[in-house]
Amino acid sequence: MMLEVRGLTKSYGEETAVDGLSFSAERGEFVTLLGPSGCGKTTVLKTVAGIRTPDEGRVLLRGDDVTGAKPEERQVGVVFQSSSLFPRMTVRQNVEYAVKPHIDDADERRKRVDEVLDLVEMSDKSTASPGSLSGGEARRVELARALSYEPDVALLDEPLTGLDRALRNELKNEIRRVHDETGVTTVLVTHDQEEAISVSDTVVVMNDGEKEQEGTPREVYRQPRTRFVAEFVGESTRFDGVVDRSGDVTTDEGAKVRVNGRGEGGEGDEASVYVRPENVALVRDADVYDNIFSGEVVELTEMGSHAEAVVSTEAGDILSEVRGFSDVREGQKVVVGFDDSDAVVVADAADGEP
Amino acid sequence: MRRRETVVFGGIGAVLFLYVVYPFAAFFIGTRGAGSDVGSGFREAVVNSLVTAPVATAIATVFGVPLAYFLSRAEFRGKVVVEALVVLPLVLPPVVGGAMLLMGFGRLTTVGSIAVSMGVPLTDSLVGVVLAQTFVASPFVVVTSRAGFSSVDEDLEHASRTMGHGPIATFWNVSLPSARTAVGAGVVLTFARAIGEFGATMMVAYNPRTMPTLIWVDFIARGVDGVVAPALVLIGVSLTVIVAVQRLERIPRLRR
Repeated sequence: MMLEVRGLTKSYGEETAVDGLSFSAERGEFVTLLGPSGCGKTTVLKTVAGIRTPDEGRVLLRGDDVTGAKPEERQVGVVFQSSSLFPRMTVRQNVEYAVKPHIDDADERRKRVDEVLDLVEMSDKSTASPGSLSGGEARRVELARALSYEPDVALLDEPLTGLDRALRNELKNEIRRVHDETGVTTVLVTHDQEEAISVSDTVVVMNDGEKEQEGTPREVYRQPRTRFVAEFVGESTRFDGVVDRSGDVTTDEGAKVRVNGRGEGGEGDEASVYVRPENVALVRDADVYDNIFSGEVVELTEMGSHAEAVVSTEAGDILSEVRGFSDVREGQKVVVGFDDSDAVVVADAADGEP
Repeated sequence: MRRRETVVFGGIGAVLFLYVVYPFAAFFIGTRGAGSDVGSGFREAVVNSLVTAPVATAIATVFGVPLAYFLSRAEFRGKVVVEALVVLPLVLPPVVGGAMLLMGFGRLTTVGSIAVSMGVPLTDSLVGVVLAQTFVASPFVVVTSRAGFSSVDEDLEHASRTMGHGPIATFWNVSLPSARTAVGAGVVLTFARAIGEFGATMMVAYNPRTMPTLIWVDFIARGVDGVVAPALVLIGVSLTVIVAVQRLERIPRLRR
């Protein structure tokens, strides 16, 4: 195991930032800590880097306990949330400065600097000053700098924040490509679930300093285990109700949502059912779906590639992704349907909340 | 700057600028032709000032910049008190500061008598001048540098550390260059204050003369006419040094 974090706890005064968090990353794995701002994910990153000292818990790199080690005694490369290029050094000098403690031979050092600048396609800007770089360019240089000394683990703190959408996508792919080419173990911190889902091998969802769920992007998106994960990761419609005898859920409005008997909490337990908009279809042919609700389109948002409709039904408002129905408009009477297998059930027993 | 801003800010700023420049003009016009002759000891006073002020500035900088960095980064009980004490010499009338230095380092004190027996008297000597100048002028470099260090993003330092550089190397290569403008301004202010220092110097070391004490002595003996020449030299020397330091500070540091 390249990185292991065990039972990490850190408080700032009264405030508990991280509460008993554990996760690990195998050599070459891309792990993302996903959570809302203030959930403690940056604190975790800084603790792994040795910038913060944990109150409790251990950090292991390559199996060695480095909990008490200074940052310079660890092999970590960090890209910080706000640009941290040294303003008085050129792009090249920035990378050189990072390589210096690790490579004694000047020729070899020069070669390495060339390599990593080439890796992020910034060779032609090597004499530029950081102030003259665009946001995306600065990020590339920081990434190159953090990887230049081949650290055990690369720690990326919200590297795409503050960039426009197109650039974010480009740089996201770039980060993944660089990861794949170098094989460096990577921990990324983000609040953007789309980013986490598309770039990682493993996603650790955090809330209030604790781990909510850990799994592949697919697992976290399709099988959220807590209400928080279901609501934070992706959009969905939520039905609150009570588990009935058949294991389905009867909503507070009296509508029945079929979930194929997966109301695990047992009869009478309160439960929430989540369904993704892309799994909810506007239908003409009613009986192919396990769940059918009729209602009226109360809101229609054009998204370009598709549209999103809010349909007011007897079970409440349901969000549906509309593809191919170009004639749908607000006020229209429609029927929405989704399969029981696409419904996610979070019963209170499973949620662990009172 | 556009025309409107030029008028507004330039116009308001000009009021203060003219107020500061006006006495200079009045002084030189009023004393025209009076200042060609200089009193005895003029040369010596110039040399003394040019020796003591840089030394005092150097001492204040060598000890003051680390203190400023420490205050900008460390959290400890009583920090507020330390910060207040650091700037206290600024609010104190220099004469009072001089009196305090006499109480601490005068010939009759333990420290002072030991120094005298070693042949380095701490009063009425160039060392005394340096003590007085350092005491009065050092807050400038500390306060200004501290503000400079506080505005340096700590993640820059963290980045340097994670790259494998220790805290001292990080200070030299990252923190200090990043705060260079503020530290430079502090050094200039400290030097300016030190070379013009009179109140505390007069108490601690009336002799040997520096330019400010000489100006005072000449003023007592010969009136305003007597101070023109040394005042001109003082202004000229100070301006030269300040401009030189400011230019030096702007030259980008070359790293190889």
